[in-house]
Amino acid sequence: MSAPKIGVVMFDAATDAPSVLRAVELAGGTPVKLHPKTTVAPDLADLPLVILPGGFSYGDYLRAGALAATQPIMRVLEDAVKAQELTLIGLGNGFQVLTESGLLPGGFIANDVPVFEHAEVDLVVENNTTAMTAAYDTGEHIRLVHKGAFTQYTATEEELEALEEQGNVVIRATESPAGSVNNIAGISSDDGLVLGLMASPEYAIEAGFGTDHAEGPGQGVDGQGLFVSVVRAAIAAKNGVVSE
Amino acid sequence: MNNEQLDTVDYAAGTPDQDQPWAALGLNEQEYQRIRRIVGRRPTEAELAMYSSMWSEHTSYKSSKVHLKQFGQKTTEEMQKHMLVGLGENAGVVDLGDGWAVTFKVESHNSPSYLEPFQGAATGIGGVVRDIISMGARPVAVLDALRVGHEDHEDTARIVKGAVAGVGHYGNILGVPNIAGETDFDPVFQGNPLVNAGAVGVLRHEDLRLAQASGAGNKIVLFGARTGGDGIGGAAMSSASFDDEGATNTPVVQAGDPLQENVIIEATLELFSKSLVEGIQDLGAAGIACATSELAASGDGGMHIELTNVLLRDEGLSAGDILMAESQERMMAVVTPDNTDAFEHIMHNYGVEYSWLGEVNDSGRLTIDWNGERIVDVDPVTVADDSPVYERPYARPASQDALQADTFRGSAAGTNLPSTGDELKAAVVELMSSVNMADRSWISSQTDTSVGGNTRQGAPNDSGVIRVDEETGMGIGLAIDCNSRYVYLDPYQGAQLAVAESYRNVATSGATPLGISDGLNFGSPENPDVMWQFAESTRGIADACQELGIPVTGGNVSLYNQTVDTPIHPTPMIVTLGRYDDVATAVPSWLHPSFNGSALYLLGETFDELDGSQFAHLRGHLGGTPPKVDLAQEARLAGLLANASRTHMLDAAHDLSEGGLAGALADMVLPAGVGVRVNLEYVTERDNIDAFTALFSESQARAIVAVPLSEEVRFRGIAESRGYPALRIGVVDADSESLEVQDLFSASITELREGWASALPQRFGN
Amino acid sequence: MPTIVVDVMPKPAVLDPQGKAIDARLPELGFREFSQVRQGKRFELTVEGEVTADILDRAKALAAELLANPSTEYIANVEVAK
Repeated sequence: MSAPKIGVVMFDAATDAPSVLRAVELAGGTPVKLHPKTTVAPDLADLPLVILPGGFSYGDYLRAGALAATQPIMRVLEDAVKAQELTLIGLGNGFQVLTESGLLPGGFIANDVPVFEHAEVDLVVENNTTAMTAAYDTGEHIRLVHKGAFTQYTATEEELEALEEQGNVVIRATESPAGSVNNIAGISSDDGLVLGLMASPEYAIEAGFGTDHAEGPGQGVDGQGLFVSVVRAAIAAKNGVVSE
Repeated sequence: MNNEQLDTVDYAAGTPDQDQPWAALGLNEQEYQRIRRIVGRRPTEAELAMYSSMWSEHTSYKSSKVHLKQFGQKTTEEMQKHMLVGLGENAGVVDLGDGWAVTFKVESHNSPSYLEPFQGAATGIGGVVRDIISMGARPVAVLDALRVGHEDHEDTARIVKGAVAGVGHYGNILGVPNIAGETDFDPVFQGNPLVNAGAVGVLRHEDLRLAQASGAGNKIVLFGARTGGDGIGGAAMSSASFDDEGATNTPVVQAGDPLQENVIIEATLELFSKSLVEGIQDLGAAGIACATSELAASGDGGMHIELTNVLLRDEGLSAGDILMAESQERMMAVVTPDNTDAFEHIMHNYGVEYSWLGEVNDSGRLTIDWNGERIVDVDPVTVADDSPVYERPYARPASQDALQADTFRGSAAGTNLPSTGDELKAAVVELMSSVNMADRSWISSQTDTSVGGNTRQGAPNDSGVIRVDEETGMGIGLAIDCNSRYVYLDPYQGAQLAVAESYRNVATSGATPLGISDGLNFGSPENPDVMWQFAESTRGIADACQELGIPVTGGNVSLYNQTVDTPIHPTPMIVTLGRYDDVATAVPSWLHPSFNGSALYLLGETFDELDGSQFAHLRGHLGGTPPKVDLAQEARLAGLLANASRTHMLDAAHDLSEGGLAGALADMVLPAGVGVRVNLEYVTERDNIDAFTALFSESQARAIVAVPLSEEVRFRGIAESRGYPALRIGVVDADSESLEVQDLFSASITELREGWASALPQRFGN
Repeated sequence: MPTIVVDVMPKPAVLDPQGKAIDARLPELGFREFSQVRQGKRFELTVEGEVTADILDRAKALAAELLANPSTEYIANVEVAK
């Protein structure tokens, strides 16, 4: 089976994009760079899954993710999701783009301590039936990089209730560095086609360059599972199953 | 600029007696007269603006040049062997092998950072990164060094919070990891903080380009941000000291736009990779005036510019303002006529604005028109390279003898020193809670260390480590250091110690040092005391580099760092760059739980050297002479550490510097909370010192290493065969949860952490 | 309870990268009526009781001392919210 194509949107200053491209490749996928001004729908038969990478799209000016959410490609992706033809995953700043686009509920505000913080976060996978978690076990503890200045997730009570009841809180922090409500780190849309994670799994994919681990500094590679999940989901979609 | 009458070349020729504001522009009378002689008439306002910016201390190095020459003179051919480009370019370029090269530089952004710390520090990062990309290199890491006033002074929080956030903001949005830095608090920096920013870039040999305009008919293009009134008078201001009332000359604060620069990096590197530019230069101090004159002077010597073609952010700027404005995120390039379409195509792709300003010619003149009228007609070499060179008088200050005679041991502060176990423990806790030794994670966590995915290690390690080649693992290590108090006590020796510490930090992490870049921050060169510090420091650096066999590849000078009559402590920041065959062999400087059971060895000898130490600083004393420097011993230590790390004998290694053995042990224990048990008896016996001295002396050429039990025999063997003093002083004991010094004290990690972790966030956090 | 609104703007001569980035999106989104965007900050100060001239002066003092950075920003407006 040839390596499935996975789209990565190259927003200006999406500083994590190069590492996401690399992570997709290491997990066995073929990353395809997508220009944010693209208005021609990508060939979705070949591109069943697109990642919005993290970083500081458009400098995080106005609000984190706000200017990226207005880019032409977002309308194309949104249409494809609505047509059940595409899975869309936002990582870090990409998750902020998804809430700014209204594709996921809730939003992000300044961290509890309102400065940029780079930290490592301990997370628990609560739902392993999604396109970004299938390679993990439910209940599995993973450690990833968490960074940003506006990474505190917030939502209305109704939204929170719905998220929790539907099992749409996919990944939860043991203690959110930003003070996110219910320690929410990753969520899913009801149909599982839109997923967001406030963390940077692309910096925990290679021993020696990863997160802290019992075996030694930088030996943690817990982010690999996310990209393996993504590649599997893309393969499954190619075989006619969009999501599980 | 006078709006009623444009000050053209013709008009200037006809009005030789018109008053000109040369003094307000920072020139002295002789310099002004010299300009008149060079141009053969009075300069136009635009010409005067150009000369004044380009002849400022900041841009021309007119007071420092005579001393900087020795960096080149003392570089032997052997030392040159890794240098692809030497001193004089934007940044030196060092060969890494396999077709890879690296360029690195440190720059000061001191006065803008005092006025507006956030923007000052942010644009400091932006500026030094543009220096790197104008060499054709991709920036792979940034670093920073801050010197600020007393931690509890009312203005210090403004500076620290602003500068730390600014460094983070700009580098984070660029997507360049921040991997090394240091921050020191001392009242001498109260009204004159130092913000030095460094950047490192990597390139393939074939992408190397130099900043020059050659080839008549080639086009000059300005691209990136538009030009506004930013920092007008900035270059002149950097060369003036702050007076009682604040800034002498308040310019419009330069604001940075890291999003714009992020895009410019990608666009510029594509220009390089497609060979679409003949020469390229970033715009920094003195803006277009500097870029045009330097490009022309280093090329064929002629250039014509139509200044009205410059895209403006504020209409209404005068021609002189446009020439001098220091708006950020701008680049100037030289493009052959057949590449202009391809150039424009790339600009459109990235959404970058550009305007064609003029072309290279063989006239030997730099001519600039404003609405078709000539306002500049000069020989560019006279602007860029023929600034006056001053042999400023210097003399060892009369007070230096008294300063050196005032030793710590002989002072009141040096009496009643801790000696019992309880007293020593209290001293260690106090030392680690002091702002100069406390946890830096409040600072480092505001920067993105991971981005790029090649960071092998960043803070709190002795040096930052970045992989360059994914295939082979080849990479680089970097450290920035300077103990200003040592340099103040003895500028020659202190500067050598700065080189030694930076070099040692890179070696401790397992890299082989290849070269240094210096950021020289001093007071007014018109003060003979300061000039002596400068002369001695530069001599110290040049001699140290010669003895260590590593070249000075580039640097930056910042003078006039003083408030009224009080100069800062002389601060030659030293960045050392080292190379790894494979960064997998890099050694962290803190203890990870997985190192449990490893043996701790102290390398090197300890003498009674407390003058200028952190402990003396804690007791409010500064006098005497700094620790003695032994560069041959430093080189041997570096060789031993490189060998041991390359052959996987070390779990961890930490150099001994500020805070001595106590500081190094606590630095190793605290980040992950992994305890140690040590015994000082062998050290005190061998070196004939007491426990206090063993803990707090800052003797050089020392390091602690953690050696896994399986490697002990091998490690002792190589230390012995190299004749390096090595004492087994203890073990890593993760379960002890304490720093235990046998027979003296045991400090629990909890009590050590409390003040250490809270010192910075408590004062400066939100 | 009454509220005092403080509007802080970047100084006209100082680069406003945020405003510039928003500005760049306008033509594509079909907003061609506006030639420039500058982004400022609005602060709302809640007052216990009536807003006297003194209180308004105190708000102005607070704005000058803390809310605006005088080297890059200016206070565009201090007024009682309607």
